[in-house]
Amino acid sequence: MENIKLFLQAVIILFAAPILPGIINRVKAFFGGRQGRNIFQLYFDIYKLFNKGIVYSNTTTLIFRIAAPAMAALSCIAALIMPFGGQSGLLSFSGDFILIVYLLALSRFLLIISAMDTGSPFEGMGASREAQFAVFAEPVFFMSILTLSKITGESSVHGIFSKLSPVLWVENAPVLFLIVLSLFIVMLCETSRVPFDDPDTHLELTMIHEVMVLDNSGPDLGLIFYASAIKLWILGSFVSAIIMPRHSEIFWLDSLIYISGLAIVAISAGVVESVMARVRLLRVPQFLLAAFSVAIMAFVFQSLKG
Amino acid sequence: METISQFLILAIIFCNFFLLFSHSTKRLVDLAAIQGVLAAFLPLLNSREFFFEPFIFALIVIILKGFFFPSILKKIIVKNSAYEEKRREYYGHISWSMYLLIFFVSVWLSTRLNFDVETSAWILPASFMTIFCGFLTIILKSQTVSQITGYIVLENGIYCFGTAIFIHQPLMVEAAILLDIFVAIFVMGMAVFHIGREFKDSDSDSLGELREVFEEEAQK
Repeated sequence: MENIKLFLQAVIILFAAPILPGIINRVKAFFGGRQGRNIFQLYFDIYKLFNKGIVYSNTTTLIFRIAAPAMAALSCIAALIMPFGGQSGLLSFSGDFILIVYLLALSRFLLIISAMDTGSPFEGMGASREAQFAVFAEPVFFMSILTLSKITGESSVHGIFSKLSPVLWVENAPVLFLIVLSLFIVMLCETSRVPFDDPDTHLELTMIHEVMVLDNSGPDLGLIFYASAIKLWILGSFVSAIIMPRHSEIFWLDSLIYISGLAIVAISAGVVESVMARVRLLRVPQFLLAAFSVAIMAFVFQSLKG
Repeated sequence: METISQFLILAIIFCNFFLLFSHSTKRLVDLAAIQGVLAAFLPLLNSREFFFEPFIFALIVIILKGFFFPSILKKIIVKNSAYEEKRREYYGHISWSMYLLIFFVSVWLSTRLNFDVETSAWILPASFMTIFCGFLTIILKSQTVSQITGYIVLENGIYCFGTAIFIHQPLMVEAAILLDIFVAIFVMGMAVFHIGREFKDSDSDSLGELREVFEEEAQK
């Protein structure tokens, strides 16, 4: 039975991830007074892209060809580490959050070198920005998880998630609030959402993530969209696990709470995108430094508590 | 109650954070007022029994810092048209480095001082941070109104520090400090108002240039 649950949760994660960008788009449309795109639009887009052919530029090499499938594969492996509905992930072990960070970093590295492989200065510019912002975002993520690990006394993602409870909120509410804040900012930055980047912009000098995938087409572009949705699921899971700690010991109920938590995170991201303007590119590092300060504060205050 | 106190302390720290990065003088005044009101609530939350004196005193602090000082400063802002701080490109980076530095220094100082803190352990670093942020506001901001705001923030920090050590400070001491800042804000407010009326500007950088002109004229 346990094996079936593990298999089932992996299938749910891998198939349900593209719904999160759909929820965000729907919230944005609601705020804009429009009906908006279908909530399953990303599934249709990926399906359409998978049925198209691929066009490779003559300047690209093998790096460009393997980048998109490798990115999707790395994101999927990272997703399989994530616990689901109170159960441990398929690949759970002590210190697994470090692997998640590095799998996502490797995926970003592949995207950056594939963008530079096209030889386009425009894409190189986006790659440079992506690398710069990652430098600021990763320490925030590490510091937040380190603080969570300190609070719960666990070193695996499953252990941390299983120790999170309403009682822990009563005892450590301000620190957990700071962690949620910093992780939410990291999620928005890493998934290229407003106020750091706008996923809807094209051919703008200010864009970051979208500019790097301008040369990708067909199934490759579909895989990049899919990897991006998985990344949103993974980072959103951390926020969801903190804001909605669940321990009913009933798999279906815990799973439902977990998915509702992710939906709340997606709705919050949609609200932020609707009410906030994009910050100036020069201000993005400062914004991330703010998140870093918040994460540091959480860690230090938790240490002061003993 | 401790959780609420910790959230209040966090809010005070976030006020410091926004104070350093805000360019609008009106927002600076509002932030200092919010911080003062939040700090006034701290002793009330920490006392285990209801005392009449601290309650009345907190009410006076809220009226002074939350309403009276902001109204005076906002009048000066309108009269002198001093709505915005100068935007400098390096400003954000300096503020960031300073903010992180004062955070670590505050935490270090609070761990070094072996005070028997009556309230949450977070109050000491928060009070040091507020004091340092007040200093930084006075140093980094160019508008004289912002510098007065920095003075109020500094006092907020001292108030928090007092709260950390004594829940019930002697009323005379607290009243003397409040009277002191009341007079200081009043006098500084009048001075800035007259400077603004005379020179049509209350930017301290411009006042520096004015002095140089006088020096040049004196040399001639």
